[in-house]
Amino acid sequence: MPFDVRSPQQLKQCQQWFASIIVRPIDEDSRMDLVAPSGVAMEIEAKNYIKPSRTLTSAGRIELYNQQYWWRLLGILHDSFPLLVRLFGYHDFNHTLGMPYLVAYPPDHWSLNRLGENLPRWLAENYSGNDKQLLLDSSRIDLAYTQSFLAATLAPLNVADSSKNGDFATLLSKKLYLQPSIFLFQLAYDLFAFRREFLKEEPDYWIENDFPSLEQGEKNFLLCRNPHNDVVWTEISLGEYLLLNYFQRGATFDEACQFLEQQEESIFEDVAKNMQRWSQKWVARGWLSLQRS
Amino acid sequence: MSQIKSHTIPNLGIGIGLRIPHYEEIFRNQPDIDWFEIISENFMVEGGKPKENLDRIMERYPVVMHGVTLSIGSAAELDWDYLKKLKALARYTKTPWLSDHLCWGRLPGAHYHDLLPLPYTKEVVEYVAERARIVQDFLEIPFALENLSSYVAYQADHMPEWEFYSAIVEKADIYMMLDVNNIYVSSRNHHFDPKVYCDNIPMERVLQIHLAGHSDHGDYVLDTHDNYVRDEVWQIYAEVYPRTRGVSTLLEWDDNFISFEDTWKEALKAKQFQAELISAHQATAGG
Repeated sequence: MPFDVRSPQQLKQCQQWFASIIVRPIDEDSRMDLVAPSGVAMEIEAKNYIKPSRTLTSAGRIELYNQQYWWRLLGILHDSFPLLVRLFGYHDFNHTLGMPYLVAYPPDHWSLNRLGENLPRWLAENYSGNDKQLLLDSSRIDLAYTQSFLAATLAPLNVADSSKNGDFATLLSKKLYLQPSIFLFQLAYDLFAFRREFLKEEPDYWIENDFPSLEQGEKNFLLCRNPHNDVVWTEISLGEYLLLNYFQRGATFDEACQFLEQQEESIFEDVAKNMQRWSQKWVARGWLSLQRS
Repeated sequence: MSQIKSHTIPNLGIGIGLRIPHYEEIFRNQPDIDWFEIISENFMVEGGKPKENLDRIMERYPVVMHGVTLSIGSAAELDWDYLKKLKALARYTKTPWLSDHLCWGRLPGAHYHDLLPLPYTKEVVEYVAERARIVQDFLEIPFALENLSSYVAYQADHMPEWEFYSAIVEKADIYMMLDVNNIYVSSRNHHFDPKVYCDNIPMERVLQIHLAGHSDHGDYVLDTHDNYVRDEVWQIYAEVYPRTRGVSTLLEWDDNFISFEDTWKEALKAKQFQAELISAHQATAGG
């Protein structure tokens, strides 16, 4: 591997100090903490590293970077979690979710697309409000939209190429995987229709106005990319959900059928009746692959 | 031999940054624009719409890559996973050169997603120049570093920014991606004369110029890329452009978007400031 150069010690110390200041949460007025992590007043400590200008103190100058750090990252989370931010409003999202989350999971990758990938986990571990399940489901759906949008496309299953001499029975024993751009959800409400209505207005609109109605009832959904690479969703039956969920982990048709034989009769009947149509649809849409992501 | 003598850097004309709000207009109207600059990281993805949009753009327009997370000055090892993906994209887009910023933005295990300024010391010059040379050798295409807008100066600084910038690019034998808006913003925040900056950098190493708008807060100026180019910045451009003997010019507009057509009109204003060089060329040709 090509070599690198050892960094100067003074540079490292300077950058470590700078970083320790800018990652500290700003207050409700977007102001920097007046006391450094060392316990010394920022106005005093900052002068050791940063020159004051004619118009700003040393602390005032680094405060600009402290603000930019939080405004930029919170802005990314607003864009990545549009349903969540509308459930809270900007202010409450920032202070209840966004900033505590980013303190627990600060960015560690060059891609900002990955900034929110631990938010559902953080919510599960740290949030205790009555609406926790709704928020968890909302965060997972929002995250899935981002991940589906950017996911790789594996070589789709080609039935003709995958069978030997037109013998499709060979396909039954081959392990199949769902495209990584496909996400499955089992919910106690129609959160997708709710999200669609919610996103018609900006987040602050919902502070003064009633939320859209959230239809209750067990439902199963699939999120995927269409041929235009737009992320779309559709409601599916429990049988199709269970079968696709099995392929998501990697399975042969034989294994999937054995799994289904163990399910309730109503599910088995649904699958038996629709299996051929579903599998034709999945293959035609390129949802299945012999490759693993 | 200095590599800047061995490369032929094309003057692509006037371009704008490729941004999502403008896609629809671009794909519908196929405007007669010279080139687009892309933010490298936006297209270093596994798949999906970004790649599809990039392919459509590349069918008709030259594309140049500009990155934001190389962090050449960070006290952290070079990220070879990132560099390999960057090089793969460079091959895919056939970008004639690739640029990123003279800054730091990460430490081991952490990314700050900002363009943070470096202390201007001889030690840092040596460190950054060596790393820039490594990156240049790896990428195998012309590599340029862009000057920052900055809001802090360090107690450790031993030289002015223009001396620091020049020393690095000459030592590393790389190019400059000169942002004239950043010269102006930094001149306001650090109280220096932009003319002094421009008089003291090796213009023969400039392969591209950036123009942009900024936000003036009185006590400080922020590089926000969300506004028209100010007259003072056009004046710096008019000074600099003839001295480069003509290089590609790009307008950056990254927030509070206006229509593609109006963004393009703003970028085209650069032509009036290129007149001096064009006249000089015509005089030479006629003489």
